[in-house]
Amino acid sequence: MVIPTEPIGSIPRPPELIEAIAVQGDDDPALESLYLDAIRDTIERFEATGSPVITDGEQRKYHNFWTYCVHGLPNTAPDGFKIPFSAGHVRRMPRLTRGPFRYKRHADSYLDVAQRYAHVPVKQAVISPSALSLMYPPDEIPGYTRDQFINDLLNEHETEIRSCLSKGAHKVQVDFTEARLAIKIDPTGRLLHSFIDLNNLALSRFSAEDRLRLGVHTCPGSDRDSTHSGDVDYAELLPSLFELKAGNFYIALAGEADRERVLKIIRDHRKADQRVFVGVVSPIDPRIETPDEICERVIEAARYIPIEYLGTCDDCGFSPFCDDTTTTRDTAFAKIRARVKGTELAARVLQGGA
Amino acid sequence: MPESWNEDELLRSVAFQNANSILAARLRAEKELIDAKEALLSRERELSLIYDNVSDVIFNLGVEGDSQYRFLSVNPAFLLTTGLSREQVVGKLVKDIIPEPARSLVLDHYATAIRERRTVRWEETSEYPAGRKVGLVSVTPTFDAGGRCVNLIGTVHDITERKREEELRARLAAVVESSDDAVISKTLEGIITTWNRGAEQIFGYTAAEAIGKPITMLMPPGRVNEEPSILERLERGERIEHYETVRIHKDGTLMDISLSVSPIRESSGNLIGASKIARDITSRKKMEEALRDESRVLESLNRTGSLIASQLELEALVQSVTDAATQLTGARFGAFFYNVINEQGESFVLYSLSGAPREAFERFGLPRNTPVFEPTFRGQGIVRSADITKDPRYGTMLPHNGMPKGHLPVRSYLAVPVVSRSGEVIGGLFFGHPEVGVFTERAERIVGGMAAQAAVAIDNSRLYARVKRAAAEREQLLAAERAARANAERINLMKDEFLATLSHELRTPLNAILGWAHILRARKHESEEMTEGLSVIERNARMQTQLIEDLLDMSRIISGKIRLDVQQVDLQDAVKAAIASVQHSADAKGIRMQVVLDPAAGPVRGDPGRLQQCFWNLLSNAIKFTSRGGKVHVSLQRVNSHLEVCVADDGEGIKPEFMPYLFERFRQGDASTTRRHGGLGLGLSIVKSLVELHGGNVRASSPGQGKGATFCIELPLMTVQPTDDPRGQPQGVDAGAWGKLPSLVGISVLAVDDEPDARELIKYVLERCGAKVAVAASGREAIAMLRALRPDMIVSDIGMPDEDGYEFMRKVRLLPPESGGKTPAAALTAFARAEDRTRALLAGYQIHISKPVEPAELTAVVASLARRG
Repeated sequence: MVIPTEPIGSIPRPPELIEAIAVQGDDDPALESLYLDAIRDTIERFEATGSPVITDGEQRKYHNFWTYCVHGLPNTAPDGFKIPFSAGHVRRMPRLTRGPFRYKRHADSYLDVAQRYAHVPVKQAVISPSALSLMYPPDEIPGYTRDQFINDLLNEHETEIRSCLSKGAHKVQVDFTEARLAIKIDPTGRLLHSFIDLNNLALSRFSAEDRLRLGVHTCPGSDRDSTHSGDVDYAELLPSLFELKAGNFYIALAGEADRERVLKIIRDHRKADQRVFVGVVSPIDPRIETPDEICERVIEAARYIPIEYLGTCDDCGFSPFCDDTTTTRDTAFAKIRARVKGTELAARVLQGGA
Repeated sequence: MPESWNEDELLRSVAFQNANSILAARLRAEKELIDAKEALLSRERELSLIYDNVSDVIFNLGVEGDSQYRFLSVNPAFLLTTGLSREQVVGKLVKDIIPEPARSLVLDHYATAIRERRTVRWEETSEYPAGRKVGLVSVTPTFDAGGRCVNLIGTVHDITERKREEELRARLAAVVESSDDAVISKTLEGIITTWNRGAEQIFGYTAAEAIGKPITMLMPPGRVNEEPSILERLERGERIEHYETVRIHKDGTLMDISLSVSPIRESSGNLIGASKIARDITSRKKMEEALRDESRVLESLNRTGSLIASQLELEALVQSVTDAATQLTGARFGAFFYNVINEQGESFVLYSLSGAPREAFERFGLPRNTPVFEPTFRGQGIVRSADITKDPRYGTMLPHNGMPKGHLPVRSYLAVPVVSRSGEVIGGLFFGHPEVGVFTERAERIVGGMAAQAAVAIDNSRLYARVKRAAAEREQLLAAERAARANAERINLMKDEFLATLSHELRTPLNAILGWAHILRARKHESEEMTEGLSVIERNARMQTQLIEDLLDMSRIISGKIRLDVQQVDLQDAVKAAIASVQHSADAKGIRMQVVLDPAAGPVRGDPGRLQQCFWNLLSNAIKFTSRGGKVHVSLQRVNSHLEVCVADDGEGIKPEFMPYLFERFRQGDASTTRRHGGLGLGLSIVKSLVELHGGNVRASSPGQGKGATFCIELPLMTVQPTDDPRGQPQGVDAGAWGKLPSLVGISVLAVDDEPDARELIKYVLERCGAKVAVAASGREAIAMLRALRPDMIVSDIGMPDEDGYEFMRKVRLLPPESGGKTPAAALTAFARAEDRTRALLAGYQIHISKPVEPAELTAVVASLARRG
């Protein structure tokens, strides 16, 4: 028996790359070789962990996991909404200044490069349309309605996913970290439902077979060892989250104070054909989890989730924002290695127990 | 946006505004989804209808472990095709339904479709209740979310007919492609759409060069208007077959082509194009032309051969040969120089010309034995030169160094000797043409053949000339002989005419002498001397009459004009009648007649009068040559198959040396002027001729002079049973008793004769029998009397001046009945020949009586004719 285990996405960039970007800017062609070195090194080290599925560590998402696709668009302004993190810093979104809305780049371009070096399946993370929907300003852009924007947003999102699927992405993971943020902004849940509706409009465009390769990742945010919505109760989120028409859910769990309570919520609201990858390592925790520890977390989760619909993952990316240096690459890979080993151990234990 | 709003409020505002748009998008999506579901349902219904009604077989197989495939559903077409019921199929495994070897093949295809996750298609031939069918099978795998194949959707499309059509099309295409004929199709606009290999070979264009081009590229400029004409005929539903025309090859050469064009129609019947089959008949045409040319040559040769074979006139013959040979060789002119020998044996040369006037050669004289002409005149073979002016074989003389001034130009030269069967060179045929290389080897052969024919014909002509001369000589001889014969015949005819005239002239007075002697003798006379004198007159008149009869009979016998009135004859009667007629003479000489007649002798076929004449003749001779007091023995008996009448006497007998000449004309045992017995010496000759005409013969024997003679006539016995032919009954003749003549009381007779004596005799005899007699001296008078008196009958002479008895009777017969046109008539004439009798009957007489006539015969005839009237 194999319990699938997957990373969420980002790996801290090599220091030399971070420094070069800081000096030369992120779009200097001279950085190309540094990017490629970073990707190749990331994949080599990823594969060295024994992880059956890897990512490119989001080395080319040189700004962040959220705005990689719109970064540098001429019809945006940098004065979008601020997202405050518990560590006291904020991240600011870009603001759409005029239509039409188009991605500047799609994530499948990263997949192209990664697959050149990879020897194991590569998954690709993309940003959710609900996250990007916040780029439209409060006041309507003249000549470009909000409805038009939403429609363009869905089309771009669909295009990106289809490209990744067609290029052989093991999974396409939609980062929906704003889910808990939505609860935080609107405790009534209306905003969350709106986000879920929007994401479902996108997911509905795919076949059931495609949706088996689509997943949704949610977490309270992870930046500089802090969250943006860690204080939001999963009980307010998860029942709605499982309404999403995806086959896989990547749910941060290692950082939760009461994992069993969350697992019960999952048990009660997961639909029969939905696979849940529970987070078994916490990127914002500097301590490296042991395989035994992870094994215990898996076994614990298996009590609430059928083993054939259970998987493991990291709680979040190790460096969603490229300038986050709070976690080293070594730590990230050590934690990943522990996840892989702990998951394997759990599988063996659970198999024996079965 | 209110400026007092903080970041969270702004974010919330944006989020909620977005939520409205998202909601609207969701509602639109849901609406689209509903619409899509409805469309799907509708589609499903359509598919269901198709599923149930499509002729293609559709089946759904569930895929189980271990490559097991189970029929989950099948459409009605499946059941109809396989003849199975739904219960027999649905729920059953494929392996239980499809037998080997098809099963293994099918399972392999299923496995391939699943393994390669694609639709697999193949053709499959299967036996179904309705027969063998070829199906195009298609199976498509479907997979569940886990990637496991769960179903195979299969279809079978019946392509039996299509395969058959494909095979047919392939065969037809192969036929078209392999055909040596050009098979071309074109649109109505005349654009070529197909072009086979045969077309490439015939026209020289490849398919790539021809397709898309106008068909007119194959047509010579003068033939382009054929295209609309062909299309019009196709529009009318006609087929065009074996249309012979001309087309152009790619290299520009013209070709004779035979075209067959058929319309191409779409399914609605509209004409959309035409299909042409073109055959290159250039070779055939050339061959036909060559054959025609050969036929022309052969016909010409044959015609010439027939002509010269039938032409015996030498001059016409050589002209025919010259003309024909000049035409056949293609020469500009031709000449035939030939040797002739005249009747005096002198030899000289003549010539005939063709294609040139005689004046063109007259001043050049006859050809001499130059190197050019010598081979021909010596019969050394044919000379043919493409250019005689440059031919080194003929030395330095003419024409090698130029033609004589004024001579027709000659470059091509052909000369053929004409040699007879005996090897004699008769002459030579010479042909010329101003152009080089005109005469071919074929022309040489033809003229060689004609020269041989001409030689034979000239030989024949010469022979004919000789024969003609001999024939002329013979004709002269024949003409002389014909003239001599004609003269002899003329003389003979004159002799006959003379004899007839003589007979007529002799009979006429005898008629009166005999008639009146007979009449007078019948009266009672005091004087015995008178009685004796009348008897002598009568007897001698009869003898003279007999002499005349013998002369006429002999004449008839010699000229073959004697006629026999053949009938059944009892010889006893004939012999008795003959005896009776000579009895008076025998009695006068005291000759005793011994008669022995076999009563069962039987009849013969013959002329009773002529037979009686023969017997009378023998009896008459016997009495004549028997001395007074002698005896004559007459016998009739049957000997084998013939009857024999013998007359034997004991008279003078016959010298042995005279026996061979006994029956010859004019022969007499004693022809001296001192002979004791008269006569013309014709009697026995007439007997012999008449007996032989009856199929019998006559013989004579005599022991010697003074010892008597015996004459016997043999006649073949009649083989059939005798009939009751009344003509066979003996006709009694009474030559002496007036009382036995028939009564003619109440009968009126018109007698016509230019001779007063003859008129009076007739009148006297007939009136004595009671008839009322009127007489006329000419035909004209008689016609008038006939109209006036209407007699019961007419007795008329023939030989009368002005209008003879024939003409008179023709006029009578032209009269109406009421004027006497049908009055019976008897010709009484001294013209006693058979042809005279025939002529009389043709003129309209009912009967012909020869003069002199006995009163008894005349009255009997009148009585008989009067009854007919």
